[in-house]
Order: sequence, then structure tokens, then C-alpha cells
Amino acid sequence: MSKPAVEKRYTLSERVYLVEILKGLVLTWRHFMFNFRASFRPGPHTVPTCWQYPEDRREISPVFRGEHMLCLDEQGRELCVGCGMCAKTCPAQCITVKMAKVAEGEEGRYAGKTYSQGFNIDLLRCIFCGFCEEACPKGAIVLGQGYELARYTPGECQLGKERLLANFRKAKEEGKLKPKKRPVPVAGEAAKEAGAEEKGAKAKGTGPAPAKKSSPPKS
Amino acid sequence: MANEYAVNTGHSTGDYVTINIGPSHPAMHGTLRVIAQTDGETVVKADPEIGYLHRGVEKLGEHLTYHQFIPITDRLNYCSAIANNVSYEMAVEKLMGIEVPEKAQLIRVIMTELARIADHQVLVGILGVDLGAFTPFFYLIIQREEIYEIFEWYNGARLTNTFGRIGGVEADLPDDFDARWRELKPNLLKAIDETDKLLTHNRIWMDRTIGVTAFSPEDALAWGFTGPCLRACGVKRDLRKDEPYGLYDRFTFDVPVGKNGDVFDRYMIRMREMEESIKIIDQAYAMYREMAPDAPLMAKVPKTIKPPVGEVYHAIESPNGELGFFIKSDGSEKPYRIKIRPPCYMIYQAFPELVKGEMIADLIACLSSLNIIAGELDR
Repeated sequence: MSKPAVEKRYTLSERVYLVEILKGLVLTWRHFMFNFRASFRPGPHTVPTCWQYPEDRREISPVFRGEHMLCLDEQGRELCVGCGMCAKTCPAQCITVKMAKVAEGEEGRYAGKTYSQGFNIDLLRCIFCGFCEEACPKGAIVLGQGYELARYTPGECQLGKERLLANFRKAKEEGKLKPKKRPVPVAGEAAKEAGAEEKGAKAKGTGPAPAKKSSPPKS
Repeated sequence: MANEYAVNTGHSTGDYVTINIGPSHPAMHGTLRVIAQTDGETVVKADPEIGYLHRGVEKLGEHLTYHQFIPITDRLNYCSAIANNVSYEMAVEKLMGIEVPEKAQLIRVIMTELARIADHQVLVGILGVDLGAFTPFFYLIIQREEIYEIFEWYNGARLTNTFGRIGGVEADLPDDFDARWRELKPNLLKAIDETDKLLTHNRIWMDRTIGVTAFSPEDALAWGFTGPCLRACGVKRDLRKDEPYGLYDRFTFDVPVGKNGDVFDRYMIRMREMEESIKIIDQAYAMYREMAPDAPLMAKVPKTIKPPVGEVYHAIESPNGELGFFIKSDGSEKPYRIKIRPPCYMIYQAFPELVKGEMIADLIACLSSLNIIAGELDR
């Protein structure tokens, strides 16, 4: 096996070497001057700089798949009925759900006739694919915008029910709830039926367009 | 194989020095290991060791349902996860005979080509970094961030997108895609142009890349090269043109072809391909806008996916080459066998042949230009 011989043909400017180097230097210098001038403009991120985390945070997509939460409806009742669809569809098998019947006098707390007595998400196993969200018939489990997932102990990575509900309340306070899902139209049937019939059709809607962030001018 | 290098005496036969590059080395892409026998600075023999990132993806596929395997495919070529998703979904759809709605296919084309651009940007940027040119890397990676933001606004993930479902896609394009794409396109072209200005005619770059690890088309075909590395050798083969899948027969685009198959050609092919991908996205997006807003995005698929007994192989032109999925179904809801044909694997086999007689520094340049992704190689 012999390698083909390649003859190098350089034009004059390439051979001289400095011409092209200077061209490149002019380009990088132009970039530098543009950014230098832009850095005096008011407002954040007028130049492509690093985000000065944690003081300065970039905007997260409204459909971001971050830390989970269990949603409540308008009356503050838990939506989850403990059916276990999320646990069944999870590729990483990180969800455990225990269903229980709603006891007498507890109807005000839960939206359904049953509820999830135990609900646990193992963050160490979760891969944030969002399938639980799609599988949930009630729209109870949602992946929120929390992306700071560092913990000190493995035990803290087990998201219990209280933690998941607290995540929802926090997101509601901050107005970071996910926009309503837009049902994905399925071929050959109305979109309404599709939502009830098919797992794959239950898709996240992208919701209203997010406010465009003031992106740095790309020079 | 590797045992003979277990003890490095420093002077093996013929005064050769055996050096170990990797598996954790700044110039190595991921966890690759190359054991190189050198005579001075010339590589006499290079032994790639693979398997440091082996996660048993194919075995994992036998224990997951068809839908649950989609997130796993993200982790193959993590520079362009969407291409892997689309390839796998198409294979399952072929097996089940599902007709994917046109709008969903257009979204797939748009996203796959964006992923291709992102992949090539990483490659060209890193190739520059490995050869000591740091600036183009920044110009490209800033634009890649914008592409990743499109992904993030589409379905909420940046790197492991889990894009699409069997039978369609999970969501429509976000409302702000139009604005984002219109902002991104000129910036992308500008970044490619600036990289071109900084590198292509630079004498240092040319000396370091032209003629380095040149490969003949016959050898490339014999070794099973596909994708940009094969086209760099002068073989005009692109699955999007030769075996059109999806809607690729509707777009007009060129297939750039190189001549020598050296590092320079591999770099140039990628630069041209980014421009072609932008063309394809433009055409696909124009078609997409003509579709009705409530056009279907999902084919009618059963809730539990149980393909008929049989086997299927489907390959797409991923940024790296021919990425194929062979799926054998026994009629249950889990695949009986999934075999992945990663383009890297075939290309990396020829690595010892490619670098024989080259310099150590060119070994690094060659590795970068082949775009060996450990996640895809070791699976």
C-alpha cells in the first residue's frame, strides 16, 4: 500500500508567507477593535464574553429539560394519580411510584381518585430525556428549568414528593412554568384524539415565542 | 497485542522508541489510545487501542423498548446527536413500514443539517487547535452556540437532544426559529469565510496539512471509508445523493469532492459541506413554510411499538459518514439485536496505514481530521 504522492503547488502570495499571515492578522485585529469598541456600549453582552455565572445567568429555554417537578392544578390539588406510566416509560428506570386510594376527607388535596403515595426520582440515574413528561396522562410530571443539580450527598439526589412539589411552587413563584403543550397533529386523525391515544403524539408544545435575548453582536 | 508494549524499555529493536499517546491526553479526542513506535520523530508503527469508552450500547438496546433506545443513540456521536436519532428512527420506521409525514421529514432535514454544521464546526475548530491555530476555533464555536440554542428552544436539550420519535417528530419548530435562522445564517457564512481566510491560504497551515496522510481512493474504498474522508480521496459518494432517503432527492446541493485524501482535503470538504448544508436548510425551510400550520407531524403509530419479525438495515449520511442501524426484531416490544455501523470504526481501522511513515505531529493532525469520536467508535 503506497501513499499517493501529492505535489504542493503554492501561489506566489502563499509562498511569500507573510502576505497571508498579514491578512489573517488584519482580520483578527478587526475583530479585536470591534469588540473593544463594543465593550464601551451600555448593556450586558455587547461583546461575546463569558457569562459571569453565577451573578450573570443566561436565559434558559422555556421548554428546557431540567430538574423535575410535580404540578398542582389551579385549586392547588395534586395532579398525579400515581398510575406509574412515567416509571414504565423511563429508559433509565429512575422513577418509583406507589399508588394509593384517596382516603375520606382528603379529596381536596388530590385531583384524582387515586394519588401517588410515594414518588421518588433518582437524579443520579435520570438522563433528562423528557419521556416521563410525554407519557404522563395528567401532565403532572414536568421537567423544569432547574439546572443546578450539584448535591453534597447521594441521599439529596433522591427527589421525594415534597421536593418535587416545592420545585413546582418555586417555579410558579418565579413565573417559570412551562407553556401549555401544543398537541402534535397526527396523520389521519384529529389532534384531539391523538393526545389521548398515542404516547408518541403527546409532545411538548413549544409555546409562545420567548423574548429574544439581547444577543451579543457577532463580529 | 498491547502486551508487548507493557514494559517500555525505551529502546526496542532497531533503536525504536515506543511512546504511548492517550487514553487521557489533551490532543486525543476523547479516550483514544495510540501506542506509537517511533524512529526519531517518524512513526514506524501505530497501534490504536480502542474500547476505553465502551458502554455496551448495543447490548443495552436489547433491554430497552424501541422508544427508550432513542436517548441512548444521543450518546454515540455526541457532536451531532440528532443525526443518530434520525438514523435510528428511520431504521425502525423502515422495519414497520411507517410513512412519516412530510412536515416532520422537513423538520428532520433542517435539524440534521444544523447538527452537521455543528459537527463540522467542532472538527475544523479542533483541527486548528491541534495544529496551533486557536483563533478560528472561537469564531466557529460562537456560532455553534447559536445552533445549540435553536436545539434548546426546540425541545429543551442542547447536546443529547433525543430528537424525534418513531413515526415523526415531537414538536413543531419553535415560533422564533425564523428570527434565529435569519440571524444565524449570515453569521455562519461569515464565520466559515473568516476561518477560510485565516487558514486555507496560510503557508503554515498548508505545509502542515497538504500531502499529510494522503490516501488513494482504492485504498479508502477497501478500508471502508465513508463520508467526508472518502470524498476527500476523490470518490463522489454521498448517501443523500446516491441513495436518497427522506426528502433529500428534492433539494439541490453539490457534493464537494477532494483529490488527495490528505488532511487539507478533509478540512476543505468540511468547509464546503457547511455551506451546502446552509443551502439545504434554506430550501427545506422554504418548503416548511409552505406547509399548513396544522399539517401532521406524527404518523399513526401504535402505543407500544412491536415491529413485525424481520430485520432491517438503514443508513444515513451522518456528518462522519455512513451511520447505519441494523435491527433484528422478534416481534416483541424490544429489539432482538441492534447493530450499529459507526463511520468512525471503519475509518479508524486504516489509521495505522495512514500514519505509517509520518511525523508524530502529523499523527495528531490525522486523528483530528478523521473526526474520530470515541463515543461512536467504542459504543
